[in-house]
Amino acid sequence: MENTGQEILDIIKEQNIQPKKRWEFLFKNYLLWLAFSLAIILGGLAASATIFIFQHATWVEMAPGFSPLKRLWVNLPLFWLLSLSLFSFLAWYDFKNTKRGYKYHPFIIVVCSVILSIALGVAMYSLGLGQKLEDTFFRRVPFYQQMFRQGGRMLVEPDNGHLAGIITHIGPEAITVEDFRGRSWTISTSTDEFQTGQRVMLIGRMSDDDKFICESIKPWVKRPGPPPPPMFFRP
Amino acid sequence: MVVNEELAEHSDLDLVKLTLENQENFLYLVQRYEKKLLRFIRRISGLNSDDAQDLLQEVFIKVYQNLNDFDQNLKFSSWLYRITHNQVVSNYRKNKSRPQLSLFDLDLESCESLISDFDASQNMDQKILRDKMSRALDGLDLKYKEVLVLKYLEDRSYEEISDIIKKPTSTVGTLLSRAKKNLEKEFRQ
Repeated sequence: MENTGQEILDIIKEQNIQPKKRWEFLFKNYLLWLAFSLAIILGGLAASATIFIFQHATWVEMAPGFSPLKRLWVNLPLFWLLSLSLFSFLAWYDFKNTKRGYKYHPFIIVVCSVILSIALGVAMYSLGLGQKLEDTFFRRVPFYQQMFRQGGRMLVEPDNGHLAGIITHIGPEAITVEDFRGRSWTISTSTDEFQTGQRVMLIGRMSDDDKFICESIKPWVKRPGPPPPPMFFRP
Repeated sequence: MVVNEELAEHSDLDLVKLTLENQENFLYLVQRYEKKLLRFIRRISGLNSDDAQDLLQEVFIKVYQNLNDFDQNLKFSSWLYRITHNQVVSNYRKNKSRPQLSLFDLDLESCESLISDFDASQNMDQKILRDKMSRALDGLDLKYKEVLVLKYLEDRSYEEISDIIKKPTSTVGTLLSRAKKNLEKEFRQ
């Protein structure tokens, strides 16, 4: 026992153990803060896409025949909500590993991270980032598109007067819509307001010769167009 | 090495700075804390003297390697106990399958402070009381045993325990309350 100190010193000398440099610890701490900030920003993006879908999805007006639960399930931005949860979890993990992060209760950290992400998300949404992100994901990320189509299938019930799908072709007096189950429909309508690749929902009825007579057609989300004005400046 | 009485009187922070200038000064820090840490290790790990001594060496080597990470907002002793806690937990995980047989080293005063909340000491022989409490403590999970040791045997505040085990003070309170309940249950068995 008396020689513990000397023994330790001898080991330190023999093995040439050196104190780690201060910058290594500072660097690790900065990295954690950087990762935390990144998680909040990515959470903000997810929140902006969520707000965009909630604000612009026309499903409330378009699906009167569906039960509220089904409408909610089909239109719930599950992907973005899961992303927001994941980034909030990462933010908590990064924060709790910073020097003083352990002082705060995990619940407080997660709630604050979500609030920060949502606040950032509102700002991003006001700048039109939510719309751009959601649209880009639908066009470029096959997994996201697949997920969206899967939900959209629930709205493809032509016998009950409902269709949902993507515009694949625009002619002078009609558009072609491929529904989320893969069947193509030609719909007579004015074509000015639509674009190829746009997601739409239709209400109408089936004719005797197996055609869909469209009574109302609305974009799934209002696109394209300039980003919406900042929320704070709306009348 | 000749012990410099003047250096031995320096504050912990001064000794940390002096150690970073000259590693020989680390001896003073070791001498100041080795007994306390060894007792803490033995109390929470149940290791025998040799194994606890080995673990203590590992702790001090970790301390030396991480001297530049010492956060001056903390008490140096809390930081030392934190490193010790980490080493004990890591050692505990490594040897989980190997049962620890040594009984808890407990003096009567510590024993009484632990059971002051539940009236169990009446009409009980002091030796029996101490043995029973040792067994009860040994039967607890490490996380409960540790907070009880820190609070009642090492006399640490909630704030210090929070800094040592890196949990919020509210969690420390919850852990302590559960630990006391579990201890009482073990004691009465």
